[in-house]
Amino acid sequence: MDVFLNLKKKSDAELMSMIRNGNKEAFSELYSRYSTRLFNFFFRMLDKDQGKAEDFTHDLFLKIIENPGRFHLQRRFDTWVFHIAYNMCKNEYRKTAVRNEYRQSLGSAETVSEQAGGSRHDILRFSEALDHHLKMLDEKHRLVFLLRYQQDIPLREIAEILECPEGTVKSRLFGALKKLSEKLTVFDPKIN
Amino acid sequence: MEDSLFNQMPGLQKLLETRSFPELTGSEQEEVLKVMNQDAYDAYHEVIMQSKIQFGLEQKTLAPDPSTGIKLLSKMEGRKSRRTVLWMLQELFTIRIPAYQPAFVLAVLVVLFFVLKNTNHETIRYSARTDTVYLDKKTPTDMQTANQPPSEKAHPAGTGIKASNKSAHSATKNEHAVHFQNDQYVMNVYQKIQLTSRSKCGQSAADDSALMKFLVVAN
Repeated sequence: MDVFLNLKKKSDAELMSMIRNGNKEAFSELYSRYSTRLFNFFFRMLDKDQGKAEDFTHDLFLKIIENPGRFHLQRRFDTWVFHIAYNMCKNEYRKTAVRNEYRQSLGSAETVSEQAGGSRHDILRFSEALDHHLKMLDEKHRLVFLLRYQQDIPLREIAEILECPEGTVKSRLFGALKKLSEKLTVFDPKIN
Repeated sequence: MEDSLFNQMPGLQKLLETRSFPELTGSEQEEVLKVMNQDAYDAYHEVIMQSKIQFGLEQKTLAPDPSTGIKLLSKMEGRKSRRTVLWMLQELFTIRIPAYQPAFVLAVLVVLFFVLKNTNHETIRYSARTDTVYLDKKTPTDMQTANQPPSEKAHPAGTGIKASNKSAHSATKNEHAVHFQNDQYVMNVYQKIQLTSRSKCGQSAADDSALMKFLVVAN
């Protein structure tokens, strides 16, 4: 029991160091810290596909088990792990090109709902609208928005994850915010 | 241009994430109103707040299947016993050292290389000398047999014309041998050819026949 309590106090880097030496408990602790966060990230990035999110979370942790040496102890663990997650999503987009097909289908669905009139919008709750419009965002804007507001990662670290300047991250974040607020004002009387 | 509002007003992003427009101080409100109106600020603030709430709820309800964690742990157990040389090498590559250290080692290796190279030259010269010494060896034993006097038992006197002819023939052989012994230059040449031919012996028919021809003529 003491072992688990001690592990809770340890930093991510310390846990990674222990995982390198084959410590199972350390891996278990790290998994409990990040599995839900990563699962939710994949869930949103992969168009709310729960099965895929599950597989991607599994694969990412498997990478950690197989190559713990790739993590440099000087680096922040969350930056490193989300960088891997981001690359996995990028590869997935490239591989399947699902994203474009999905966007096309959404585009047609949106046209239909707009034609149906404003009364239909009133029925939708904010969460559903957010889901819908987040999917409509392009990957770059959606990624920055999720990393900032879902994962609560500072802009400087997001820049590290995406390997781009902080100014670019700020622009993308504001772009995402602007697009979402334009769409979501319809549903929220406060915003209107 | 509006896309870079966060870059234009560095504090704007933090204000949007933490406080609504009425919660801002007078100076902050003034600063904000320079770049956008109150409605726009409220809209952005509301989207951020609602999204955070939405994502927070999701994190509580959405979690990976517990069996995933168990599977991963069992895989880790499997890996534990397979820690090999590759693992050790990977560990080695993660070690970081200052740049001057490998540079110093490289310099030492270069110096060592040149020192050892010079030492090797000395050895080669020495072996060359031993080769020349080898040439001053004594005449091989098969040449010595030519100097021996002909055996009387093998050719006793009075055995007829054939016997006298044989003894006469061996006499000329002796003369040849004496002549060879006296002429050191010819002996050395003979010896040299014989040594060369020994090493080449069997390599080609031409070498063998050249040696045979020489031996026949010499005899």
